[in-house]
Amino acid sequence: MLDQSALQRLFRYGFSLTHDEDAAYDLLQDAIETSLRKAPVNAAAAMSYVQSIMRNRFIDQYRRDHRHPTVSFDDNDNQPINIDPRVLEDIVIAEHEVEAIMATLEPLERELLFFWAVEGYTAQEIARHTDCPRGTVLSRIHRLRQKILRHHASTDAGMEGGTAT
Amino acid sequence: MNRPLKQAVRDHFEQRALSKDRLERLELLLRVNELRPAGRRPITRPLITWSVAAAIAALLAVTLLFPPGSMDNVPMTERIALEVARNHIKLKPLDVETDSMDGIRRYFTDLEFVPVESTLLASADLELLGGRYCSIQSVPAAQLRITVPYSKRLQTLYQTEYQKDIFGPLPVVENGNAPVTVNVKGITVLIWVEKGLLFALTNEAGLEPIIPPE
Repeated sequence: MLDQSALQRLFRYGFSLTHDEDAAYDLLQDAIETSLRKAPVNAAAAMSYVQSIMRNRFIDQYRRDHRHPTVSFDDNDNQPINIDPRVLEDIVIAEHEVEAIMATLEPLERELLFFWAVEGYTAQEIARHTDCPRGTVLSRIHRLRQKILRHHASTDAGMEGGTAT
Repeated sequence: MNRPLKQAVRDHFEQRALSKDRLERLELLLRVNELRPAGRRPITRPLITWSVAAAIAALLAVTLLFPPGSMDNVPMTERIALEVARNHIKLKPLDVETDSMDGIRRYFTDLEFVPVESTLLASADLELLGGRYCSIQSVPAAQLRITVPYSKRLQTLYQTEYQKDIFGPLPVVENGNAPVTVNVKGITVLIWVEKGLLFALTNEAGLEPIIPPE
């Protein structure tokens, strides 16, 4: 059975997708209702199972709500690309910037940041959890870095620290 | 003050947490689900009985100790109606698409009850579209979506096991009672008990009633 810690982790995962606390709660509640007794007994497997339901539900809903999505959930941009998965590690931002950055990101980008920063996953692990090739994850990391740096550059105060590397 | 992106992102997410009330409700939902006799779980019948009793007691405790902020003195029928209306408005995707109750019964095998037709809807011209798992007051339920041809509007019919300890007294069709009507969020919600199940049916306020008033 999922304990409180697992529920909080799943809630935060839902928040990474929805960027809204109420919607994250609804998504988690939905996934638990759907899983009913099908969820594995093992806590780690149950968490992974509920998380995958949350992701699928969110994507279904997102596709329904966005007839012309600005982000593709079928991203197969997995052409060979030589990207160091640690490219995000060296970015430093002003404390107040994170909220603004999060607000500009697409759901999959926030999800990627969540897996990387909160769960501590490697690119390979993110690929496994999101069911996509590692090359796609690396491409997304690369684009995410570019996006964050562009945001960083556009905020005067943020750049004064000269922190983006 | 500048910080590594990783730390900033981690803090951003860790500032978010389920409230105590929401956490309790999810735990209860999990507990009720876990108590169901699943194939791979060696749960004995006495344990199920005690566990179900414990879950019901926990639900009562949660309801009493952690009522949602503005729901303190809200009657149970209104709580049910609010939850039903809120879910109806969202019109979340269906888990199964079927136009027959047999299809519904084949799909909803993880509930502790069997979805059935209501006699109150027998003469109504309704078209079944499908259903999805949901819950009412943390009790697992089936949410069926129907269309009403004359209004061309989607409506929602909920069914769940009627647990009097949780839902309180409600009109029972077999006793000759008419459904209770609650208007919330622009939605008229009819609530009744029939064949041991709690039914809740939505209809946008102002539309011709699906079940004509007596």
